[in-house]
Amino acid sequence: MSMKLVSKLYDGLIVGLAIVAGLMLVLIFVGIVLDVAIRSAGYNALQWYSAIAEYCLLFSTMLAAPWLVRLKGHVVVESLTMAMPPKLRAAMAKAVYLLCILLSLLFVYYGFIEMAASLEIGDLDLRSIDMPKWILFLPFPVGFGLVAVEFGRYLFGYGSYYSGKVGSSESL
Amino acid sequence: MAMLTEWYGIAGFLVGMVIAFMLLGIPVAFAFLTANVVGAMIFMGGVHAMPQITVNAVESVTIFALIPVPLFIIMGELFFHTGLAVRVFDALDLCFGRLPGRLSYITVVGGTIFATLSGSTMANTAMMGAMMVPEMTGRGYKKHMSMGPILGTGGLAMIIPPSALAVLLASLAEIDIGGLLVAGVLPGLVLAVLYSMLIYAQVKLDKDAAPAYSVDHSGFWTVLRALALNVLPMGFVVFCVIGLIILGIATPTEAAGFGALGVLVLAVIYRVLTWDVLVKSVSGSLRVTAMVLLIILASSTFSQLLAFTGASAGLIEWATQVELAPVVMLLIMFGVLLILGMFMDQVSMMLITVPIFFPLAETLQFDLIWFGLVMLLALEISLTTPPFGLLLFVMIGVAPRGTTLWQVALAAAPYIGCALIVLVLLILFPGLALYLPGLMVR
Repeated sequence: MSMKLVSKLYDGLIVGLAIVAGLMLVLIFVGIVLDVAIRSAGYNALQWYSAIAEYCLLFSTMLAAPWLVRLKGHVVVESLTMAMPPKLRAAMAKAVYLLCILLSLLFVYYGFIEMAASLEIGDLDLRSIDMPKWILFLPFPVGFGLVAVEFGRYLFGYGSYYSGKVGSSESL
Repeated sequence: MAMLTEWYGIAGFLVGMVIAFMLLGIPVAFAFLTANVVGAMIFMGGVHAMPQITVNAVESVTIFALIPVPLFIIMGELFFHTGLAVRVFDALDLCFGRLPGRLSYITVVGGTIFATLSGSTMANTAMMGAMMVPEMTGRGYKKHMSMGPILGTGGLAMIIPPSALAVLLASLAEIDIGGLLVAGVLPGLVLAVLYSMLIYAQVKLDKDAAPAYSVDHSGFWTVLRALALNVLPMGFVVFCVIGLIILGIATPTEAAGFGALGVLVLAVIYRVLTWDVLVKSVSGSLRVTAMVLLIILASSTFSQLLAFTGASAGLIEWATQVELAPVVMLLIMFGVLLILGMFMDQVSMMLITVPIFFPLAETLQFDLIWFGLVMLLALEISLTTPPFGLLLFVMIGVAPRGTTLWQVALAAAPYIGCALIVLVLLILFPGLALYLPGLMVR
């Protein structure tokens, strides 16, 4: 496979996971409306809704995390780094990318360990419906793994994570 | 390291570490993760704590109480991308006649209505700024008359429900989410009235600040029709969110779902719902939701560290021993929030201070919903304090070229004064916040 194809497939993966994450938000929204509608019609509440919605919060966060790294969407404070001389600022940025990669890999590892442990003993997560607990840890190896790759792109020179503007970040 | 055996040393180390990492330019979520890992290595038995940090992280966001956060964000995004927000302003534009400072008033009234329909301060400010500043500049309004009301009312979204930030705060502090949401209604409205009084005074003092200009006179029926068509239906959505919670018919989650559904239904009725709008709204919601929840997830062990190391307990013991009046302690906490707000975002501020402030507030026997609201007020003010208040920069982004930070901050200053008046009112009359939650049918 050519590098171009690999990179295209990889980009598709990042965007694809973000689309799945977005659909999970839609599911949370549609689910609550359905749940209330069904209950008001006198039927039993959707038992699965709260457990699935809770899992969707985690999954959408982790699946969108690599996409957000690419969009520079994770909030960052740039007030001090902007005051640094350009060379120091560039070095600092590289150090930050490296730290984010190492941290992400750490959580890939521990997410995986926890997932394997839950799988082995068949642990259940007791919510409105019982969920196999390993699913709870699945987004960590996937999400943090790709976050590490995305920071790797910055580390190896694919642009900069920093906008060079104070207060450019989003918040609530 | 001797310092790290005393509670103040530990607390200072942990909080200082997060702040230092943020200032070094580590994305906030990763700054918290780093601090947790370092803290756990020192205080929680080294690598053995890592599985616990992992479990804490996944469990911190899989809680039902957080569901209204994405729903309120979706509601606001739909409201903006469908253009329903602009209709509110167009309708209000017909109501104000040839009043001096009319565009400033329109901003306050429109912004307050925005705040009841959207949970995002940043989006509100950006939208009003882009829409109103060029118009006001063109009409010869001075900078403080154009930017001030936008900065002031932009922050209202944080206090007036639906507020995604209030949901986060209540869920982190483990207080009644519906209660905190509803508690913001009256103080938010009082704030809006104070803003209008401020504009009145500013125009009275300086007639050239906001020159009057002639407007086409609209007949009574035209105005009524515009209001009925473009403002009243939004009132129905507001009722879905606030009314249903007060009446005890819906939980905050259900109310949030129906609020978003309400905006969606209106968009269908006004024929402004397109595929493009849906995609933009979902993608915008995902950006904000995932960013905020990753910070929550990343900081999940932070409060445990504060508790585990005895830092929280030490602080509370100290606070009960020093003989400071509760109101002085309140003002100290308020001051700390304002200082933190000078250089970090609202979510991070909350995550750092909630595990420390809420136990303290409980010890001081404050009503926690009331205290939550005071905290929201501080968070709102800190959005517009220099040098790094986020709204100041949102405003610079949409203001005419050459507008300086100083000019924006000066425009915001009197509005901060109004917020401080509300703080005093809240201290003197706690009922301002607690009256509506008291009416809630539970």
